[in-house]
Amino acid sequence: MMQSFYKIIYLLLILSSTYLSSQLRIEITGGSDEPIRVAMVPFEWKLNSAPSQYLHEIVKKDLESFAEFAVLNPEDMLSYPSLEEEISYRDWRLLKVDYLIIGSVLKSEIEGEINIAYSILDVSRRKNIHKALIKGSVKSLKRMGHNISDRIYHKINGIPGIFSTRIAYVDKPLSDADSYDLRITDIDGDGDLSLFKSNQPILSPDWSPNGKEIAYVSFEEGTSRIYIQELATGNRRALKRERGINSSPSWSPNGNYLSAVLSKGDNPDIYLYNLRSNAWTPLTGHYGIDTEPDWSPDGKSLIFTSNRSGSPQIYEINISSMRIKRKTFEGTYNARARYLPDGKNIIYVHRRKGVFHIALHNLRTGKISILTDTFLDESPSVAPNGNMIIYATKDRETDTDILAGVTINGKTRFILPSVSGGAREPAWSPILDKY
Amino acid sequence: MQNLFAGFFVSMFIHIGLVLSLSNIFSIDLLAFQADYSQPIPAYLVYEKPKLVSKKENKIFIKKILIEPNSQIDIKEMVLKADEEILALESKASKTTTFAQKKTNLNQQNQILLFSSIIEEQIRAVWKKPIVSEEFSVELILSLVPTGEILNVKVKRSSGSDAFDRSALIAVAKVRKFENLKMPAQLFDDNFRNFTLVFKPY
Repeated sequence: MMQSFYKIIYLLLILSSTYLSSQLRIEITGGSDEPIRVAMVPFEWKLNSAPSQYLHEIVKKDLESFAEFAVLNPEDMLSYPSLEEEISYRDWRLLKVDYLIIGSVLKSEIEGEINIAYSILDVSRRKNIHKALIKGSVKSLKRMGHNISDRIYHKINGIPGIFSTRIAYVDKPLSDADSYDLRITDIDGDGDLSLFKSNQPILSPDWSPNGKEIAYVSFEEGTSRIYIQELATGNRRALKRERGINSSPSWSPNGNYLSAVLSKGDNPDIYLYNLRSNAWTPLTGHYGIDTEPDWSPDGKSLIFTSNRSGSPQIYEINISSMRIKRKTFEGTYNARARYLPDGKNIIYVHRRKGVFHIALHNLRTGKISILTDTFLDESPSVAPNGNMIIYATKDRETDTDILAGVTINGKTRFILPSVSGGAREPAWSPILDKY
Repeated sequence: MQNLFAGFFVSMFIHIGLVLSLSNIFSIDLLAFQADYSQPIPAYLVYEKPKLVSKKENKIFIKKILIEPNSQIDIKEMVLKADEEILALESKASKTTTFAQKKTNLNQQNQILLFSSIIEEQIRAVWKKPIVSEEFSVELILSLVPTGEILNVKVKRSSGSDAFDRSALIAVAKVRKFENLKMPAQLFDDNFRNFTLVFKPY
């Protein structure tokens, strides 16, 4: 009895395994390079007052800025549905649209507030994949537009959108040698405003993980010192100063620590600053120069630049074990490394044949890819979704300092529009508008 | 005595079952049913016999298949032509059964290869993968009818990213019906009625 039972079981086992292994597998590696086609029907406007801006125009500009999406012009649409029942999927399929976005702007019971209801639809499978209602004030229409772009980006690409994020940078106009201005701007170049001005150098801004504060180095007292400034109030506080250099602040992912560079032990080393107890503790103590620390996204290790081997190279230190590992071996200049949000890749400035490029380095496989082809690329900063990098470079035609960006696949380049001749040291904010 | 026999068979079943299921888990292809799509070497093995048929013609013919799998050539005709040539080769060659058997197997492998590449090209043309920095992959099971129309699609193994899975499903939905899939019924039933599509970004 038992035996026949086992026999049956193993017969089944054999049958199923042969069935599975004999099934044909076809692998598709890499798809079409065409951008994803999105159609956003102008939202139905159900308010008495006329709109100051059109949401579909904001979203179109956002989504097209990194060439990942192609957004259909409203003139090319065959119909303007605002409800799911009104959609003729056939028409949108004919227009080769992948995703359709419909919605309407509604009155709210609260004065000056509006509600935006919208849906994202998958045209080829005739499916609603996302439905949401967002609330905001009439005046913040632009911000709501960016917020919708972020959500669309997240739904379609699976990683957060960064259209609501901002970039901090130091502006040093060519015309005025003694003016330094710490500024922040939206990534489309709007809303550019000054945080702090000085006639002494300002260096290395870094955003706090919650996006509410910025740490930076200022020479306003004659020597370098690290300051933290709150964005909402403009209040500044200084960190305890140590003898020598105080530079390169970098916020820990939990917001409780700053790592920075001090030279109180005669040569620059990496230190940790506890923001609660206001105390410095050393992390490295080598006779070489250790500088430019950056925290891994899990907060367990830091990468920094050190010349301990004779040339600047990237090292990683594990905070609990204090073990240090060299990460770069290619070339004689690798500096200013930053982690990508996945923690598995880093970017840094890499010199190849006398030219400084931004390189992407996979820590697991060791694969290095050069992302930029300009001349003097420096201080890269990664977008919070890990998909874009902004860096400072020289515009060779006008010989001005500009901020330029590149997507992580190296395919799309962009220039930050607002910047006026002397922009440097960009720092990309974390995700600010949570959704 | 009886017990020993039963024990022997049970143990045999256990071992075969274990070997087969383990080989499946570690994707070791013991039964060699799967074609290795990236290396179309068998095709050359057949035609590189210099004595049999003039070498030049055949090489060009093979290239044609490999390079333009989805162009508007009549595949059925080409396949038949290939069959005829193989038969001609066989009649000329020494008529040992194993040799002939080998050839028909190879020919079938070629056909599977050809139709797989036709399917691959049509999917690849419409698949817009989202930008992913990590190595995702999703496996779908497709069910076809002999006209090439896709009856059903299921996610066999998800990539863990909704967006990535969706991009693959959309690509399949866009194709709806595979073109140029005219093939012998037996070949279709054995290989293309249900098959697995794996999507990899890089």
